[in-house]
Amino acid sequence: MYVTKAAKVEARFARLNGDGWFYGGLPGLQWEAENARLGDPKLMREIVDDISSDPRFEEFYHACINCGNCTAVCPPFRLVDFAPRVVVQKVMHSRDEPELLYQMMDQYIWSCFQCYSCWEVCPAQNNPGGLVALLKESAVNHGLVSAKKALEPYSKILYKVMVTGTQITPDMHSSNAPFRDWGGGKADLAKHLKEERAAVPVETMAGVIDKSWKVDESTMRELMTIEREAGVTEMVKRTLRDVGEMVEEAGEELGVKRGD
Amino acid sequence: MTGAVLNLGGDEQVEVGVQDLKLFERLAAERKETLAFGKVEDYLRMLEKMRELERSGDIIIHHAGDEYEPVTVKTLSGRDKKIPTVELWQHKSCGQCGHIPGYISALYWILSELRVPYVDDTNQTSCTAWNYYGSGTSNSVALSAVFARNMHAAWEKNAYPLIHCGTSYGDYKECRYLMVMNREIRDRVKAILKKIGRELVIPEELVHYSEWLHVKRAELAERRKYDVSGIKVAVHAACHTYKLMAEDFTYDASIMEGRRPAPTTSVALALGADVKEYSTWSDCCGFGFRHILTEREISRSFAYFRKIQPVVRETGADVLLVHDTGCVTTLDKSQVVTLAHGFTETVPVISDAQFAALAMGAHPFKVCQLHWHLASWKNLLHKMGIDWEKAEAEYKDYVQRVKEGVKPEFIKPPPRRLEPRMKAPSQK
Repeated sequence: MYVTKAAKVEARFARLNGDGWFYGGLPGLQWEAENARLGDPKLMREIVDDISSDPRFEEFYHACINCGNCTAVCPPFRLVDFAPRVVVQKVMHSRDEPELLYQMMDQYIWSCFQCYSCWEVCPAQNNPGGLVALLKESAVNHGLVSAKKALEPYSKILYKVMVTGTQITPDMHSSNAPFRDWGGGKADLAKHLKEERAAVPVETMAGVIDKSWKVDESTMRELMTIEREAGVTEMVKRTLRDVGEMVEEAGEELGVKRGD
Repeated sequence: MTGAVLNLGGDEQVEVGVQDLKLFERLAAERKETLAFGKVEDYLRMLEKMRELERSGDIIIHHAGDEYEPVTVKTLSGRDKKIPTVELWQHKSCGQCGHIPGYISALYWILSELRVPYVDDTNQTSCTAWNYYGSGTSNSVALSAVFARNMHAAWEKNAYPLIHCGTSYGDYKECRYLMVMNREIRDRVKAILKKIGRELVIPEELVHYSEWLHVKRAELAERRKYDVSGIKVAVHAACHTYKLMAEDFTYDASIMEGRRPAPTTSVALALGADVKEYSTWSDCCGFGFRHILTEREISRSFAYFRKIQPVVRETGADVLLVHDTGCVTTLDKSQVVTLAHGFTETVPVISDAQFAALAMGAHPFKVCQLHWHLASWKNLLHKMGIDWEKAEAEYKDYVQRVKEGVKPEFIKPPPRRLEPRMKAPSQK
C-alpha cells in the first residue's frame, strides 16, 4: 500500500517530542527513544535523578551548543558507534525524556575510553567523559544487565583492585592467562616469571606474584572498610554478586564486618 | 605587514597578520581562562577555600614546605606550583609493577643516584580509579576516602606524595576539588576516615613524578654517560595528566613554546635528544580501561594506527617516551599483533625515567628491566652506544644467581632527614 500524504504528516508529527521539536541532528534518535520507552519508566527516571543530583553534575554539564568538537577528538568515535556530543545532547533533554539516557546504558556508554579529550576541547566546559562515568556508576548501582555484561569478563581485576588496591599482577602473565596476543616475548617471560620477579631490584616488589607490590594487611583492611562504608561493596553486589561477596569474605578474614 | 609565523606542528607553518594575531591571542587567552571544572578562577578559589578550611580546623594541609626543598614551576593556569624535590612518598601505580617493573625501578634508581631520600611504603593502595573510570564500580565518596587515606599515610611518614600514575594524579585532583568544594562529600569522607583512625589530610600540591623529573632535568643531564644527541624522540603525554583538570599540569614557555605540557619533553631535550613533533600528538594511547582488557582490538587498532604508525612514519623516532603506566602498556603491547599481520612500523616504548636512567648509565635489564617491554629496544640501545648483548649476558647470569639463592641487588633509598610525624595505626 502506498503511504498517503496524511500518513506521512502523521509520522512526522510522531517524531516531535512533548515540546514540539524534532530530534534534529541526532539520526536514529527517535527510533532509539521509542525502543527505550519499552523499559521501566520508574528506573528510567531514577537514572536521570541519579546523575542530575550528583554534586559532580553541575561541574560536568552546562549546556551543549552541538559544535561537535568533542566528537572530533574522541578516540572511540573513530572505531565504534559512540559520540560524546550525542551523550551531552541526550543528557540535556533527559529531564523531559528519561528514555534518552536509558537507551545509552546498553553498550553505548561502555564504549567511552574515559580519556577526557572531550572535556579539554569543549567551549562550554561540558565534560562528556565525566557524564559517562556518572551513567556507568548508575548502571552498576541499579544492577543493569548491560553493566553485568560489560564487567563480567574482567571481574577478577575488579576483585583485585577492591581487595588489594593493586591490579594487573604478575600471576596474570602465566601461560593460561589472558594477554596471549602479547606474543612470544611475553610467553618467554611467563616461563621464568618467578625468577624474573625475584630479580626486580625494588624490595617492595621483588618476588611478589599475586599483587603489584607488598601491601600490608592493615592497609587492605582499611581499603575494604572504606568500600563498605561508602556503599561500594553493596553497589558491586547488585551487578556482580559473586565479586561483592568474595570481597566481603576477604574482608571478613581481615576483620572487616559485613555491611547491613 | 606580517604579525608572526605560527608553527602548527610537523612542517606546517602559517603566517598571520597583526590583527589576526591579536585575535588569535585573545582567543587563546579566553581558552586558557575557561578550562575544566568551570574556570581557572574556580580552581584558584578552590585553593583559597582549602586554606580557609585549614584555618577553621576542618582539614590538615600537607604543605610543600622548605623541608621538601620545593622548586617552582608554572602551570597552564599561570599559577606558580611548588614541586617538592626531596623526602618523597612514592605513590605507586596499580598497573606498573605487574608487567613493566622498570617504570618504577628506573625512577628509584634516579632518586638514589641524586641522593634524594624517599619512602617506598607498603601501607599504600592505588587510587582504585581503575574501578571507577573503566567500570563505574566506585563512587566519589569512596575514591575521595581512598585518596585521603593514602595522603594521610604519606603525611604521618612526613614524606611528600609523588604520584607515579597519570590516572591517580588526575583522579586525586578531582577528589581534592570535590572534597574541598562540597561539604557533604567532605563530611562523609571524614566520618569514614575516623572509622579507620585517620584524619583528613590534603596536600597543598598534587605532584606527578614527571613534574619532579622536569625540575631535576639539569641534574639528570649533568650525570649523562651516553650521548643521546643522535636519538630521535617522540613524546606521548598521558591524557589524565594534562586533560583531566588541565589547569594544574606544568607548562613552560621554553619547552615547545608552551604549546605542549613541559614534562617528559623537557627531560628529553635536557639530555640532548632530538625531540620530534607528530600530527597525532594530542591523541590518547587507546587504553580505554576496560578496552585494554576485554575489547582489545579497539585499543590495539587505535594505539597502532593513531599513534605508533604516525610516530614512525612522520618522525622516524628511535623511541616513544611516555609518563603513564597504562600508556606504556597499550603502546608497547599493541605492536605485537599488528606486526604479525605484516605491518612494519615499530618503535620501543619506555618511560621518561627509563630513558633518563639509560642515558645516565643504569643497567638496561637489572635496573631498567627492558626485557618486560615487547617492542624491540635493541636498535635504541645500539644507537645510544650501549652494548646490550653484554648487558643481557650479565643479566642472565645475575638471574641465575638469584635463582640459586643469592640476594637481589636492591636499590636503596638514601637515609632520610625528616622524622616520621607519628606511628601508623597498624604499628601502634
